[in-house]
Amino acid sequence: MKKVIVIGGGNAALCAAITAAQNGAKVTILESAPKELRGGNSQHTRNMRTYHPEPTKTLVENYPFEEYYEDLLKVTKGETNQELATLAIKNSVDLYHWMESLGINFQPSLKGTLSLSRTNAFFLGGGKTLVNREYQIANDLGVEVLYEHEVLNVKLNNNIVEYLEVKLPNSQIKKFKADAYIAASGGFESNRDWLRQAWGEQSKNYLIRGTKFNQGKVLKSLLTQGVKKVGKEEQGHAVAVDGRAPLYDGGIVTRLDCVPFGIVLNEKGNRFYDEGEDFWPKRYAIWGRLVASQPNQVGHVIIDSKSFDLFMPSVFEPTKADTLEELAKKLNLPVEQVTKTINEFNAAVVDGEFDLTKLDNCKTEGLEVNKTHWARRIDTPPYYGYTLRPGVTFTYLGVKIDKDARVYMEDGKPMTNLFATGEMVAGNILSQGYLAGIGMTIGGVFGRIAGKGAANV
Amino acid sequence: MFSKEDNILRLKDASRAMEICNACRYCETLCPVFPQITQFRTFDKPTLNYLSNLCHNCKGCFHGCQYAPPHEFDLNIPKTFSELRVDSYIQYAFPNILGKLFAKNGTVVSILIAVCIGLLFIVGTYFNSADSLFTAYEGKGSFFKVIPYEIMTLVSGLIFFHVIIAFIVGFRRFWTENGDKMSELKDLSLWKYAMGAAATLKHLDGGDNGHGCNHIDDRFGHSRKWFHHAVMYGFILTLISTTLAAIYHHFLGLHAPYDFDSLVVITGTLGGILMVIGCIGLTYIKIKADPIPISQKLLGMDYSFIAMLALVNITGLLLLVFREGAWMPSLLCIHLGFVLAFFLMMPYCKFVHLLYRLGALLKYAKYVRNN
Repeated sequence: MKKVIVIGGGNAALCAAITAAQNGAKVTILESAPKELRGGNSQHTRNMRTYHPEPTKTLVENYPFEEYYEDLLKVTKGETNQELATLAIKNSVDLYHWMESLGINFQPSLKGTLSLSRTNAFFLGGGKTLVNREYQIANDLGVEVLYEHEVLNVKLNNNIVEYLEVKLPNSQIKKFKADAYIAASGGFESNRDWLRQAWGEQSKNYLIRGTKFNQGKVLKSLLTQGVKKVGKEEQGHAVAVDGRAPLYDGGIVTRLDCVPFGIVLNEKGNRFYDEGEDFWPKRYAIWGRLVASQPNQVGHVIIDSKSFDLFMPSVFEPTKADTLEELAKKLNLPVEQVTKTINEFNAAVVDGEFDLTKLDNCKTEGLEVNKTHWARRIDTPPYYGYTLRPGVTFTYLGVKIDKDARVYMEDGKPMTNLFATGEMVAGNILSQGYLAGIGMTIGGVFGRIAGKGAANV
Repeated sequence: MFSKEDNILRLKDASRAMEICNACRYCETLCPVFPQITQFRTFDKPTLNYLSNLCHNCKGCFHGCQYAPPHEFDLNIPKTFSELRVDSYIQYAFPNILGKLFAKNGTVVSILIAVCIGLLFIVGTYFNSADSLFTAYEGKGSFFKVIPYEIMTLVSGLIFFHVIIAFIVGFRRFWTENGDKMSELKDLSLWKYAMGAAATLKHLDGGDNGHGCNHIDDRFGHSRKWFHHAVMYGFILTLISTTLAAIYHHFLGLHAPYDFDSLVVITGTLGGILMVIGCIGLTYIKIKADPIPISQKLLGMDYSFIAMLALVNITGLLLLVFREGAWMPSLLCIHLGFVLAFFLMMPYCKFVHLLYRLGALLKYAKYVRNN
């Protein structure tokens, strides 16, 4: 019986552990989080992008392979590993049915996410319910789960993993040995020092949307010992989130959907980008970067009472005031400049027919930065303000794998006993951009491949 | 613990929680609470009272919650709602002053049971038609030789009347609190939905997949639903038994004790056994369950209610077995003591969840109808 160690405790790690156990291995999971916080970023996910030639219980119509692949090429601007991308997409439907067979429940797409009802399979109750079920299955298969076991170092000897150095709950360091290892411990987005190094001082103003346990220690350990990297360290995926969100684990609720309904000002009281460029789900990702490039990495959405009920409720109450001056004061913005910007904006608005369901003809004319759709004067009190910060979702830096989820060395040699999956390998397929729900697909598909491979080394 | 100030704090916390849920919505198909909240942006007291009574305490939303403790949002919907439900029971209680009984429910129930049994023994000692309470009675009407028929009928009649009034007033307070009209209850389609959902406990199924609820830990299962069914249908069977007995007595001139093969005894026995099984099962689940989503403040109320139900039935079954012997009068006094306490407490104990949850299902049926 082969002994397999899985590093990490999210969906990718669990798919790997379950598959390895199903293939007869004796499996141990090393999860750095305590039980209550297990599951990495998977606990914040809600769906998995799934190719399907015909409708399933919860997915409507069909989502052909070619369309999925095209969608991926669009977001990555054509840069992907064709072999691995094809493999991930082709196997996604099988992954869905495998999960169903394990008693994982799916639900129809949530209200307000109809655009995803055809392409993404929603986990009933969200990612934490998914992860709970996966831990139960792992447990039933005899997988040993060790919480608060943090892997600090993967000791390599050329292309062989010799052992792991693991920090135990009592802070002692212990060596763990196995026949095969699967690394599934995520990116480095929660490691503030590494972020500052890679992204500069401004990263101190970024919030992390997911787990605080993605410290990137395994990733760093591998990359410093000659494992081939994929993706760029300076690249990360960020969206615009509520500036009052917690530093970690804010998850889905911190998103703000109000941008297209108002204007966004920087700290100096100036607009800096077209708020009505396109539908918000298509644009919210770029606003992470936009806000990051503003002074002190902050933006302020200003709307008036006409728009207040038009978007998903925010988790924190907005700042509210009866006059624009008062609102600017409450938001600590330069009152004069704010009033000037809004007056200029209001004067530039061309009346049209306001229609949320399409790119309407409400726009501004003659401004340096025009708003091209859904532009309405901000003139009906009370006024509301929301603060935006960049919220980091994940980093792209990872390790190079092949179609067997086997990790590669810089010299082109495959590792004999190391596999990887999850965010650590997403960079093989996603060089840039993001396609909602594909992270779970990549993690699950390569998790299963890695689990099978590790059980048969 | 259940003061007005505590209620205000709890409403504030529940409102904060609902706003977080409303911005997340991952639980949308778990149970009716989550689709229902999408209709609101703010959550006032009547709305929260309604939502907390619509919650079936299945805990799926807790175990699946990315914001559950130790997350700083500290969301614990089952616990928050279970406490809020008791606040609402207190608020709706008639007469209002007796709402206070909910706060120390465990103690009140225990004392009341002791007093009722004591009273029954006193009545039995003074009014029984033999020399002592430790005599075997035989034949028809033997129970009334221990406790006179007139006393039994008068007391049970008065209590029954009180319970009905308290239920009607309480229900009315709940139903009209958020502006709904009593006349809306004429719509039979609402009743069809609500009674169907109550009869099948559909909302303990965890959604359309029917995988069940998290009664002990994060695993899904149906045991809580089945044990609850045993209690609920057992209770209905004993009600049928009692009603039949009244008909036999008043209209057919047949007096208790009834034969073992009579419908009264068959339905009563079956109901009693089901309730005892259900109570034991529900207690087991409560003891084993993850304590975090459970309010420790309410354990007294929950356990005393389950214990009272179980003891009413256990003593009833014992009475059935030993009704011909010298222990009958004592057992009768004890059994009737439990029954008396149970009916006196009915509007002021966990029993009322039936009333308000049915009301909440009726309100939810309106939402289903309109969407």
